[in-house]
Amino acid sequence: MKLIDLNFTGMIKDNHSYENLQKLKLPNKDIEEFKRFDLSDLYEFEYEFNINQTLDSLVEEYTYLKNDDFYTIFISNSKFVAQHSIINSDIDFSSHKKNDFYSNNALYYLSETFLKEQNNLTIKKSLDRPLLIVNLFQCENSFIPISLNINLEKNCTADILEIFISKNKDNSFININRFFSLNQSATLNYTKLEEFTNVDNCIFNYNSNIKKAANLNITTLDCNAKKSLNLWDFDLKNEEISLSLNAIVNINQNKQSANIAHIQHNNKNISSEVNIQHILDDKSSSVFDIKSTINNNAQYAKVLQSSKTILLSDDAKINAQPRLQIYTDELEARHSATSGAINQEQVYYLTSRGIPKKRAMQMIIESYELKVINKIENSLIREFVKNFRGKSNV
Amino acid sequence: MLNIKDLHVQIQDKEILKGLNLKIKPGEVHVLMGVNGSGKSTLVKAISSHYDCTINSGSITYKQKDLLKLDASSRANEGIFMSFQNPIEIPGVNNMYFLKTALNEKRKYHNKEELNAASFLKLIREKMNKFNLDEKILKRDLNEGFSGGEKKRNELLQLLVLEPDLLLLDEIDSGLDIDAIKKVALGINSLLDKKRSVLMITHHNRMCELIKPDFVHILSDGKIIKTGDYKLAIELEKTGFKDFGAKNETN
Repeated sequence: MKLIDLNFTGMIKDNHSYENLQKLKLPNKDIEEFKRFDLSDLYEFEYEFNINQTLDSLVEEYTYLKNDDFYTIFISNSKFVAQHSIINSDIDFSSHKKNDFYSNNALYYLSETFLKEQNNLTIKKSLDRPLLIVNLFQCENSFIPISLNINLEKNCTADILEIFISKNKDNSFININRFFSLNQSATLNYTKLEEFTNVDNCIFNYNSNIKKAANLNITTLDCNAKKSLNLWDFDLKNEEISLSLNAIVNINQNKQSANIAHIQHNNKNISSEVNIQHILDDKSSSVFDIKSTINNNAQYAKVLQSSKTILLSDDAKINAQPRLQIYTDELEARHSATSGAINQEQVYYLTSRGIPKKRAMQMIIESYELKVINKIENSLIREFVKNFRGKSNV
Repeated sequence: MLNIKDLHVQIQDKEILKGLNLKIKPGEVHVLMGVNGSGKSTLVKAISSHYDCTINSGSITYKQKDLLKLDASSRANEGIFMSFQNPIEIPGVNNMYFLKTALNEKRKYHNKEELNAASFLKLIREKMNKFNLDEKILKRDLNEGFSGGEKKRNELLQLLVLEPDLLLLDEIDSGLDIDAIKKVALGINSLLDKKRSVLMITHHNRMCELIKPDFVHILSDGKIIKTGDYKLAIELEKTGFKDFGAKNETN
């Protein structure tokens, strides 16, 4: 079945989402943000829709990730795996009827069309340990729709590390919805780590409902998927919200990646910060398209956008468009986009101490990544990420 | 150990070394002096395969090997160590991680077993205690935010850990106070075992007094124009380079 036809007879689980999908239409190159990130090959491919497949052996393989430092949730092909998960009474994982929510993102509805109920993860009290969510996928030539709402109660603080691990062998399209619902003065420190394969195409659709004085701190690390798109849609309506997004895009070969964000500032004293470090090798390419709108009711906003790129090859490409739309006078706003090659003097210094050039370059690239990883608030998550990516120092 | 014959080196479009000859035997300490721009730093850069240098002609033989066929890391692992005049800052690369990687790369090159974290820590603590070096620099990122003195002490630490056979010291004494110069000289002298050799660039007699070179060379316009013993350095201090016919390249 080709997605471009939007003909999903017999497979539609949520008519309301399907109607919105038909109305919005799948984004193509006619839309400004997608001019340099073409999704048409995904729409034209004949995907299987075997989303109910269970992955017991794969879950067994990754149970080693469970440890006493984390609460752990396993999700295989979007199904919660109770027997392998360790959660406490302040963490509630449940599925129920979907809430009314409107997004301008058709790709959000693309997943919801095939999902009858909404998976909800609710954290009622501040957690004494970080929460690890392990998402596992294994399929062939499949379209996999996934959705999870992460809810934090009032004044609650949580550190969440979500890992996406794929064992896909053929062209697959994983379309993932994440909705962050943060009640007043809640703080969510969310880290996304992935171990996709180079046959995976992954789209993450992020939406949020953030209440007054809540803080959302996101760190993402993208490196393996053939095509990886993060669509960030944040409508910040309440006072004193703080949003920070730190990301690493480290890709090679012919891989493509994009971070496309719409951040609306619609109340006083909101701060938002986007820092993305790109490390691009071979013929890889990346898009940084961040649009922050500061409306006239968003006085005293503090808005920052930064794209930094290291191009490791002459054929690698970055398309960086930091964009600010400002409708108020009282604010602090900055945006920047830089690109350059790896510092030859640094490489030489390391090689002059006996470190081969390839390893020296790897150390310098890791140092760029570490600058982002070190911003992760929780030390256990920080160390987990370093170890997971093989950057364990002395 | 090192035999340089008729070496011509250019940086960008300018020929800097114009037929330089130099022979260093095991255990010898050589000092290179000369006015700014005479080619002193270019010589040590050429020996350590700096990417700025283009070798137009001539040869460098090191331990009976054609050095010009080896890349920078192989030269280092063969035992050549160049201390930088301005050590490079690499934020995000932990100093201890860097030292351990460098040491283990050398061990791997010589088919020796790599050191694990515990063994490395033991080794480095011994070195630091012996020369009264502050352990704090290990925990910081490589040279990042280091003062001039800290950078030079970090170069010394690398020297002590990597135990090279040929030390190329490019103004290792610059920016150091008298006590720090003594500490660096002590470290270098501790490595001198009649087998290791030193080629040192310095503008100051103090370092010569502490290390006591076997040979002092005056470099001018890309060539060695005079060679003597330690007395030549003392004479130079009194008379200046002009009396030896050195061209002032900066003018």
